[in-house]
Amino acid sequence: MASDAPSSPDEARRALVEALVATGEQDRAAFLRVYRMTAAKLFGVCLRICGDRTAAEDVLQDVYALVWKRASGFEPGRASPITWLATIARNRAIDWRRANPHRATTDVEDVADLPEPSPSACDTLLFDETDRRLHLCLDALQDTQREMIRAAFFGGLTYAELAERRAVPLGTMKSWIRRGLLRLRECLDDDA
Amino acid sequence: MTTPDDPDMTAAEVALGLLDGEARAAAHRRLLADPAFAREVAHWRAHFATLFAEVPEVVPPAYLEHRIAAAVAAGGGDRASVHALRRWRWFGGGMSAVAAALLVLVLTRATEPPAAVRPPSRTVVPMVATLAPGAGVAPFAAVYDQSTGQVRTLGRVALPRDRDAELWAIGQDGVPRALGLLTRDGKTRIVVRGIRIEPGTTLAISIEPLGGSPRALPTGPVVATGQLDRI
Repeated sequence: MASDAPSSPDEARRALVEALVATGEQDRAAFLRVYRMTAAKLFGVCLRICGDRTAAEDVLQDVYALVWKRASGFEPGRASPITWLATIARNRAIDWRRANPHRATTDVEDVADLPEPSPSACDTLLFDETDRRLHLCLDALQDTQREMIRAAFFGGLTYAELAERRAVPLGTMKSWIRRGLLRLRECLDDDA
Repeated sequence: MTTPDDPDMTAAEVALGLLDGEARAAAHRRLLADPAFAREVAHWRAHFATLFAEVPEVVPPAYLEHRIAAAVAAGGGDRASVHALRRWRWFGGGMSAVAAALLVLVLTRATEPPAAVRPPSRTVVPMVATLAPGAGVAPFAAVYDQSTGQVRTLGRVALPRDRDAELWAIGQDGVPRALGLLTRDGKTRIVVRGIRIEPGTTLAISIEPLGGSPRALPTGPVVATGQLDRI
């Protein structure tokens, strides 16, 4: 790891929290620090959900305009900063998908099912290592359950939309996912 | 430990956004009224958020940082200016050899002997831009001569018969303003009236119906953009 990079996850997260809090006080230099620390991750999120590079760029710009406006509402004690930011990116990208169904060229299930890459240095710095249990527990689910849960997360799809895409009755879809969520909860509880 | 008889997964469903209609409304009312339920939803949200960690990082193009910084500087990223800026894609990147050659060409033309000799103390430095093109478009060079208020461009856009290429200026406020149509011979001169052109102004070319955009903003694809600067 480069010597000028934050030396530990704690330090990286603290630097991001500080920059985000200062952004909430309308500090533009801090805002640019937030951008530089997180843009690649958030662009990855936008790209994955939008499936269209031009759209992902527009959405990313919207996301940071929102970050600038909403940073004063970020509560360091309650949320991880990268999760707070990534959630804004996810929500905006899902809004875009809903508004532009014809431009969302990739199918949401393809989007959700991209092969898992190995986590990058930024991830290991900004995400909490101890909270990776979800991945292990998801791996323990049936393929369909796992796919549907990921499609719901990355595509912002409801039960009704998932049922339509999979051409199964609504009740069947609810039952698949609820059983998957139940197993997920058991697995997460076991591990806690 | 959860028992199988209790398959109420509403908290997870809310966190994932699976519900709609009345079920969603009811769950959201419960979210406000039931703190334990709200905590459970928050836990699920935190768990699902770890899915973000698997999304590969993709470095966004450098011009996005400038766009975002400009939008914030221009007034806290208010919707109107963000929306206007969003229409624009800066084709960033270094100047290609062809573009550099064009720039030399256009500058040579721009500094052709003036008809009247101006006092040396009033020499106005022209502003130039290389308009970095998108795929399939040859590079453009543009010069703005403040003394004559004239923009000249050198470069040609391949156009269908029923389309024109239109030149736009985008100032600090992020709002595109039409300067005029490019001529088909690739050597355009446009006298600018009532539009502020300064270093940092972005020039852009869009493809429009014959006669130019029917609206105040571009309607067709933007094929090249670049920023003016003093030389």
